[in-house]
Amino acid sequence: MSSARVSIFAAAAAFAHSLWVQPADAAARAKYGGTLRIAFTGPEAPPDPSLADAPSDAAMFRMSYEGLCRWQRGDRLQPVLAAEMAQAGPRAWRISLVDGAKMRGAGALTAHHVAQSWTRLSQQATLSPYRALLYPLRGEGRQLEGSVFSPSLLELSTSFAWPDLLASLCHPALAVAVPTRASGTPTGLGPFVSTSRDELLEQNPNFPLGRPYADRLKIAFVNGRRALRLLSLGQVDIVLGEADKTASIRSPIALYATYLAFKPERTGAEFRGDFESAVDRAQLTQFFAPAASVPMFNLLPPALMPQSATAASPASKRRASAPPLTLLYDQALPEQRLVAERIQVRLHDLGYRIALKPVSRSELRNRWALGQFDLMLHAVLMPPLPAPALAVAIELAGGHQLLASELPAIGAEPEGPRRELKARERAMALAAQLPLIPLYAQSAVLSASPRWYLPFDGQGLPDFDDAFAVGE
Amino acid sequence: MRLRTQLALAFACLAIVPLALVLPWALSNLRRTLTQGFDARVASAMIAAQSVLEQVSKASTVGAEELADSPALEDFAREVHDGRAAPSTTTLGERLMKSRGLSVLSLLDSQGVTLSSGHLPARLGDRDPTLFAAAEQPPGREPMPVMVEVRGDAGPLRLPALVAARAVDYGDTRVWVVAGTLLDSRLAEELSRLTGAEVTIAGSGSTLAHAGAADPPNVEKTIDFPPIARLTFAFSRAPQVSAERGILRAFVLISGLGLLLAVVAGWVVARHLTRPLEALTAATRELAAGSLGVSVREDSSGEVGDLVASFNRMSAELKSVTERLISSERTAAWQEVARRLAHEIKNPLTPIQMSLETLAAARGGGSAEFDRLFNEGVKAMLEEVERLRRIVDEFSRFARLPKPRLAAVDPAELVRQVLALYPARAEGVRLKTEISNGMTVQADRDLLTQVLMNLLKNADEAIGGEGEIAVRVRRHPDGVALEVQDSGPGVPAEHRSRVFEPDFTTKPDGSGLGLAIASRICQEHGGRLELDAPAGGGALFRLVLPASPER
Repeated sequence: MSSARVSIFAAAAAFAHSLWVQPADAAARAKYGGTLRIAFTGPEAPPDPSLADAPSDAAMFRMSYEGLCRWQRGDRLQPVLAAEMAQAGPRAWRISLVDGAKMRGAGALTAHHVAQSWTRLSQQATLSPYRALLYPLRGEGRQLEGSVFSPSLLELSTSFAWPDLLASLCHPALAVAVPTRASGTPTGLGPFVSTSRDELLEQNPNFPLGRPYADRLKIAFVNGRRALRLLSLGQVDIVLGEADKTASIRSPIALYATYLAFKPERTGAEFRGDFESAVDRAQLTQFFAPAASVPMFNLLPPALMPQSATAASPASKRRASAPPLTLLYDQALPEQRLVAERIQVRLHDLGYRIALKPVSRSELRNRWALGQFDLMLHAVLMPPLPAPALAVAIELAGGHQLLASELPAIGAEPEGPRRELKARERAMALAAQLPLIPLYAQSAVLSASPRWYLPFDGQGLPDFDDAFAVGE
Repeated sequence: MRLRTQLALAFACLAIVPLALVLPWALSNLRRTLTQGFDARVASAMIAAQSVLEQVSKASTVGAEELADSPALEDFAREVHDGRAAPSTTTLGERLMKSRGLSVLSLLDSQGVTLSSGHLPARLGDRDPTLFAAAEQPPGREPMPVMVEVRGDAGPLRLPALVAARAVDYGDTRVWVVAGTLLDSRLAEELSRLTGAEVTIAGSGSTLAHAGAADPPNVEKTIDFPPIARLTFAFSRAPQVSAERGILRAFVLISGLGLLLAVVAGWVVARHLTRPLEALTAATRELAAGSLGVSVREDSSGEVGDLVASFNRMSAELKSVTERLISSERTAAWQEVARRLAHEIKNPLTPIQMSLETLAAARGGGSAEFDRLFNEGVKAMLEEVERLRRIVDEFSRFARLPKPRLAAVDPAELVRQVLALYPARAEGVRLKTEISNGMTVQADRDLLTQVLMNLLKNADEAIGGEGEIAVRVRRHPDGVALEVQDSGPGVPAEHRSRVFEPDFTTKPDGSGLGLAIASRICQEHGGRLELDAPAGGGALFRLVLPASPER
């Protein structure tokens, strides 16, 4: 991928953004009410925010689940469930929760709910690469109950200096999701709440950021072609996860990063070199990856780090005795199948015999946690800052122990730009060491009717609570 | 072999021979008919298979032509010309391929680079020289057999396919539509289902697809797509062989049943035919055993009935003749006895007469020798009277020989007892015994003892106090043999036929009745007394008695 291509995508993103500036200007004319009809083209995602590995899944979760804060455009941190987030010392933070926020089926929001939601990421059964976001906390965020000082007060302290802690805590994977006894689906506190009808979400009048513009969201689970047809017929307003030729919009920032994780002891030491010589990322994103994808040459997505395409690797020799390998991918993501097939075919030319195995997302995450894979396509939503993003990438590569040496060094830089620079340098340095091959970064893509205004947040996810019907 | 068995076998042969003659011919005809039917079916199946492959070939051509003329390809060519990469390019080939029922579809640019692939979408962007070769063929050619890469479990698989290519031009941009059908397991299954054969598609030295099953033995036919693939159709001859075997089995079963029926029928007919013959045989045996006048019931007709009637007449005549003969013999015997008796009595009478005449002459002449002559004459007459008395006793005993009182007797034990009772022998006599145990005869113990004593006495006299006497008891084909053999001079050949006659003797003072009585006792026991002349000389008397049934 050349830098010219990166600039093309950046220009496209800016163009798309500009298209939506006009409705934003029209926000003065925003009015309350109406039903936002949404068609969702993917399979229903598991009820776990930390498994929202596709932008459309995260967008769906954003409707009903919210974290302490939200990363808004312009690098602005907006508290949502937190009333106040203040630094109480060099390594201490004091977070008080909003009063009166009630979750359906779980009572009032408490600090225990927050701690419980975060602790899940470190538990063996639900181990997640996003636990790296909590790594700087004392005890690596595993004993958060000790940080709860009252039902509405959370006092956090870090093991080392980590100025990006609050930004990390705004990550959607750290949204509050509390298991309920009534059903297996955890409950949360988002702008919309579920009703007795699965496809209908009503606005949450107690949402801390205020009442959403739309009265309700109506969700239809259909396939892509039908969704676009419904859009063209005016029967839905938004199609999540499917790009239409005329009504396609994408978020301005591509933070969904897809990697190829591998086990060097299974693939052989030459695998990275063979991959680089066989697979062209530009072709991968042009033909096989989702439409709103950009090639990713470095450990961090282009949005967080200027991409330096490596020089084309010399063609590798055909391996006479490459071991048979299995490439696991997410069965819920059709594009991952295309990408997996492309990798299979290109590496086949070098003598690799790679079987493809689609698995459910929860099994994929479980196999990752247990290290039971040869090759695995893994998508994660990167935080919008380089340092936390690097932490997630290292964790994803199975380098949990490496975090102890890498993060304190980065967090020691008090200045934001210098810290980001340091994180990028370390990303460059670690790229060749970690058994993780970056493939592409993806932004949320959707097709929308011009009758509705839908902004994106700083994480690149749509803000449904700020969506409103554009007046005549 | 009995007649009944022979007849049953004859019937069986009559039943089996025609079947044995017909079976090879029938089987040969059957095999020829089945083979002709099988060959016709194979030929028909191969025509059907060829037809399917022609349809496949045609479908490739038609598919390529229809796609080349379709608006979708026109739009695609325009997009390529404009340099726009449609997001749907990746899936376009697969969509178009499935909509046309094809299994191979590649859209190539003028350099042979894959713009979209239906059979292996992951090849998008790669050069495909194999399919591009099909595109470079002269127009109007038949679909070309090529090896195509398709999706496989562990990477692309190479399978044979028939592909046709058509060009789509938009401005100076040319897009090649290469469409075709894989010669894969689906086609193999279709061909197998259609032909009923086991279909194997092979190429590059390995089996690429396989469908159906054909039990051996097989007949194989092939269709070649040089140089990449060969379709082999294996038609099972197992049903034909099974039918042949079934019919052969039925033949064998029918033959077996026929044979059984023939044997039963033969046995029944033979039984009907042989019953009077068997009755005749039994009557003949009885007749031979001495049952004169035996007759067979005359319930047969025809030749067998005549035979039975003739037998009965013969038996009756034989009885009549035998009775007359016996009567004549009895008369002759009595005449002989009378003659003998007269002769024996006449001999003493002469000395008596002479003595009386001498005494009378001496008394009349007043001879001084009278007393001496009287004493000598009286003595001589008393001797002759004694002799007469003895003769009369002998004849009396011969005439009054009692009927034997039969009882189970162990011959070995009897012989040992007789030898024990036998008087002490001279020093030069050697007695040798060979006695087998475990036999029983029905006999009068006293009479048998008398016979043995008589034989031992004769042997003792024959060797004259110097020689060997052997006594044996052994099994004999007719029962039990008791033998007494001596090492004496033996019986001259001219006398052997007469030794058992009542008046025959070679001894100066013999009565000639000893062996006659012994022989008669043997006959009364149902046995016989034989004289034999052993190779080493001497005489051998063998008493053969029927053995008692073993307990």
